[in-house]
Amino acid sequence: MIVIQNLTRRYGGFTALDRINLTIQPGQIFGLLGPNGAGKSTTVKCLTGSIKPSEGDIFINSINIKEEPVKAKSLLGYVPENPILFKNLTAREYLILSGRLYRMDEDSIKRRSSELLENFGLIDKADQQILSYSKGMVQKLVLASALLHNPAYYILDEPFSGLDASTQAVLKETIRSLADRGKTVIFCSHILEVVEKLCHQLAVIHQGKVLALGTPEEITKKSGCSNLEDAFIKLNGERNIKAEADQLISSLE
Amino acid sequence: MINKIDFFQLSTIVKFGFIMETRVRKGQKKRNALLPLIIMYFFAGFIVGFYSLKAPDLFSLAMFSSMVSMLLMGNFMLIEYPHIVTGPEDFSFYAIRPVNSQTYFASKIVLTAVMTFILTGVLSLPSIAMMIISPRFSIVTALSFLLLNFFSGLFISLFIINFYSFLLKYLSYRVIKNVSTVFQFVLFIAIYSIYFYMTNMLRSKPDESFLTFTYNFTSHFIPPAWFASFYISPMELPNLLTMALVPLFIVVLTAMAYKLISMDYAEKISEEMLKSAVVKNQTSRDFPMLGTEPESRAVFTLLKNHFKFSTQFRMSVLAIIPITVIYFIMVLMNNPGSILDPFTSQGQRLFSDTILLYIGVGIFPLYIKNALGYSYEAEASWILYTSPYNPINLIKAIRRFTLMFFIIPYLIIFATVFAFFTQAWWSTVKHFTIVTLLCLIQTDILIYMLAEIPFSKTPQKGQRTIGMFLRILLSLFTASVLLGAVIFVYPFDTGYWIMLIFLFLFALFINFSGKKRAGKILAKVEFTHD
Repeated sequence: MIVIQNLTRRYGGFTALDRINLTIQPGQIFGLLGPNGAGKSTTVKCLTGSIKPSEGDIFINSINIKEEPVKAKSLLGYVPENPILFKNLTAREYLILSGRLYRMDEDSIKRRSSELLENFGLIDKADQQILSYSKGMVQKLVLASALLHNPAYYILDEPFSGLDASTQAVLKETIRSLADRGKTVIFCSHILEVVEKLCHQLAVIHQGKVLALGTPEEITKKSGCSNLEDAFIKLNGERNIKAEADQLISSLE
Repeated sequence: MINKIDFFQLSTIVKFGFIMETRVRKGQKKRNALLPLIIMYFFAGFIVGFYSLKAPDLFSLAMFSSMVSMLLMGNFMLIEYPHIVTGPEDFSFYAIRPVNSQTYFASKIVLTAVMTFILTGVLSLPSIAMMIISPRFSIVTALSFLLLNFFSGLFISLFIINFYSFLLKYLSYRVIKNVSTVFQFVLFIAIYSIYFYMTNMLRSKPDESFLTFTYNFTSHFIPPAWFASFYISPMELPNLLTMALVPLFIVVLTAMAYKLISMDYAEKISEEMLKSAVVKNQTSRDFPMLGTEPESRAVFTLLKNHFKFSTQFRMSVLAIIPITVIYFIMVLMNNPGSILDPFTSQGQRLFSDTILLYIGVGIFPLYIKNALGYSYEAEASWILYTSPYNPINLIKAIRRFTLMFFIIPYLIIFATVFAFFTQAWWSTVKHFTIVTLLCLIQTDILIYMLAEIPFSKTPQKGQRTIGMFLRILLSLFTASVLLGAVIFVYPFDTGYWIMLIFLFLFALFINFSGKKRAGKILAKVEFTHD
């Protein structure tokens, strides 16, 4: 279980997260939604131990990430929104490096990395430097790296970015299967259609605060809309979409 | 601290860190990026090797060897390796993985030590070989220079790590970038000063006192002397105390680095870099002299912003100033009254004493050329591959930029100083017409004949260090051409005018054919962005 208590993060005078409280159960696919700059990525960075919360605590499997970061991080698999990789390495080397840092044994690293590279269609280019990879290939490699050590908790920030349609379908099914096996998946995406179909529970974040929490159906129903996309737009403040688009086009003329 | 280090993770990080440091970033090729640097250090090792043949005593030799090792490693750390403490890319990878601060710190230090060991080892080889051949030194003494150079290099590497880390702890990243540039200047000056003295050494002047170092009280304040004091015989209490400074400072520097470098520290750097990316809205000023076509304005914006935000680029460009100043000071101090009219017989005789003043003529174009080609943001050059501009106009704008902001101001200042000392105005005009033509020819060869899309290549390990030595070689070549002209052509009036016409026509030819060649090169690279 992941428990987030009064999570607050400030950057100088700016409060990016303001007393966030969430509980994510094992086997749950939990969606974090919000417009650009809402605080999703900051939440994810706090969850993964990349940045320290200004206040509040995060417990991963009852381990406080502030107090025992190494222990907590060993339970996580993370796909960042903008993955920065060591591009001089080959895909295979990258997975070996990652696997060893999670203290996997050599046989498991070799076997599992080959399987993952095969499954993601990267095996033919496994010994090429990552710098020659396309955006989609990089994304597949980052997904492989997150899955490699078979963690109990997955944090996936825009995992479908750059993936082709068939790989997206495979990934959706993989996420469901992981949840069925009792793994916890925290999932950030702007593709609301996917979020609606995939997530058991959602939190809509806006300006660092949780605006709505519940199942996709509950959130849609509470906002009085017919689908999640409309509900999302309504929750984040009504916008005149047509007028904004017209203004954008008129600025080109 | 030791008990908190995960040695399995440590060996993994060091192993892969080493792979990343040594591998060339070129698609599927797996060349060793360190190889050119290793070759360069090997040849640099001959400097100490040759000195070992005429060194007055072992202390002086050890002192000189330690000095060279410190300067070369210091140079390497400053130019190639500053990201060991300022790079945020490690953080995004390691922060999300179960790696603790102690392991992260230890990996940084071990990797530094490994690189230091390789480079100082290569540097030591020629001198060790020459010492073994020489009957003056025992094999054990010769081999001990491996340790001497390693610990000297490690000392300076740790010192620089601490220097950067300490500053980063208390100052903003933006300030550090500027401070580090100043610090790099100082080191560049030191390196070029050494080079200057080495050229003096090769001239075999009677005054060679600089080659003899004597152990005295001040040795306690000169780090190379601490290392060299191991070679004083017989050992007495004062030099035993000096020797004790070596382990003391290595332990102190390591302990200080431990206090400074951690995951928290890496996080701070990462955040600082984000903060430093926020800039105030500034109005841009155009330089109509650079040309009014869109490519000229684009080049000016590109170069101006690179100069503002890229330490690498700023360093490459600004390093020219202290180097030029140091040469002026050195030449004037060592050869007072030697800047004479090169068209008179006495001037021709003493011209070789002032030849180093012309260093800028050779190195300016190469400096700019090297700085313009490479950038750590090379991936962003896709915009230059997709925009509908005329590539020749772009290269022409770069040439104009180089001439207007660097070469012409340099030549004007130089000619003024020259005229002031010689008081021979007509000779100054004649002499600087030749110098300007030489400079133009070099600029056109480098910018047109070896044309490339600006900032489109990622810098490779060792490239900047090698570039520095290439600049020295090129400047020596230019200086020899000038020396030859002054000795063999200047005495004859007709000879001078024939040379002037020849250089003028050659400059026109290079300019004309250079543009054509640049067009061909750019047509080839147009679809090669990866």
